[in-house]
Amino acid sequence: MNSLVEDIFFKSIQIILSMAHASYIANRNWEAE
Amino acid sequence: MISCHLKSCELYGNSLVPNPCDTCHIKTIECRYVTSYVAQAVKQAICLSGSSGLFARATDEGICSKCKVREAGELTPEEEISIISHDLRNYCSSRACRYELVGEMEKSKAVWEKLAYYYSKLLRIYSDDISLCIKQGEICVRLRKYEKAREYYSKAIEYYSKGWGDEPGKTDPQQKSKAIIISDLYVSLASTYNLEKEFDKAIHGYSRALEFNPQSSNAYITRARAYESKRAYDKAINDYSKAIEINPQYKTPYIYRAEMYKRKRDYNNAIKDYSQLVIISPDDSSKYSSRGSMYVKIKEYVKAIADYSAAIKAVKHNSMKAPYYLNRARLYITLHRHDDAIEDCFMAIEAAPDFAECYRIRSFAYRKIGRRDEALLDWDKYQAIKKKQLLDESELLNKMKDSLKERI
Repeated sequence: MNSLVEDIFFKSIQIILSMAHASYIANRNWEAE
Repeated sequence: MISCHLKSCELYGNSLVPNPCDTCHIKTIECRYVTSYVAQAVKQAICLSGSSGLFARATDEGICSKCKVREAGELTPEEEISIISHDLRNYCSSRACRYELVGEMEKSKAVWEKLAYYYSKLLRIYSDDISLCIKQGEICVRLRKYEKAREYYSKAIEYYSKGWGDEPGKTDPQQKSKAIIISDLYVSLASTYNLEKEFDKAIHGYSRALEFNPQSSNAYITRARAYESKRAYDKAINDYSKAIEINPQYKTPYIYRAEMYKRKRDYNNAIKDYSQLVIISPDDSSKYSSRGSMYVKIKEYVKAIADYSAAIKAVKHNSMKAPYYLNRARLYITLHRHDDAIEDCFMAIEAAPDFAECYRIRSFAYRKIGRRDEALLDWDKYQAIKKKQLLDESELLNKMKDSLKERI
């Protein structure tokens, strides 16, 4: 029943993670400059 | 050595006290306050007490980190270098990466717990990297610790929502990507409720996600699943339709909306959805078969036969063709085309020789055209296969019972 919810959850979390990590790196680089 | 540790505590103002490990009984450090200074404090402890100080890391458990490392296996040369150079960041990252490398499907509960452990260390070191917090949330979901996962996602939402105000709809266009992250985080948060069968809270969370990003098809689809669970089929159909509007090429909402129409016995609309799926992926045999079964419901047998024929053509492996041949054979019998039905049964048996139902249908078709001997032969074959399957099943059940008894 919930396999779709889990599927969407795990797929989308990877996208959020990469976006969040990219913004963290960008902020850090900006601060360094 | 203890005095060195205490010196390090005094240096950074943390409450680092020596504590014996439950496993090795060696006194190590337990940090009672988790602050961003922990890493520095531990580094200082290393400098004062030698490389073994690396294991004197913050831990809330009775087992020291050294024993935990032993449990996790041998160290890689890179990890040893990290230890020698007292680099806690590299060490934790390296351990986390090693566990990350285990395939998603193969990761056991123990591996997820190890990952949670090392990510929690990293989160303490890089307290400003919110992606670590999101990662911890994901691991908690893997470990079915939904309440804890929600804590992490709420923290991440709070981080991104700083200075956002109460009107998420009126966002600055430049902050669109931030709004998408917040929306997706709400979807994740709501999904933890959905997985715990708290559907009202889940629906509320998905609705909040849509306030931040009205174009989130994932929010619509997952909310639709929550509505389905509450048997609110019309609302579920509405959400699937919204998801389709956003991305007409995305197959999932069509599949689930068709299922909703089936439950409402609205077969014509289900056929429309399967027709879209056939257009999107013309090589997918299951979609022809699903549409075929809908045509059967509305007694459009010729169209159903055409769909099963398309499914047979689309499927690659011969053994997978058997159920489609069988379904087409059934339809031929309904249309009194018994010779065609017998031919399809032959094809199905060739594809899957132990498919009992094919013999039963062929026996029926033979009987209808007066070929009684062949009908009887097929009936005996059908009975023999069914008997063998029942015996196999009971044997399997007995084996399962025995293995359960052994475990108890």
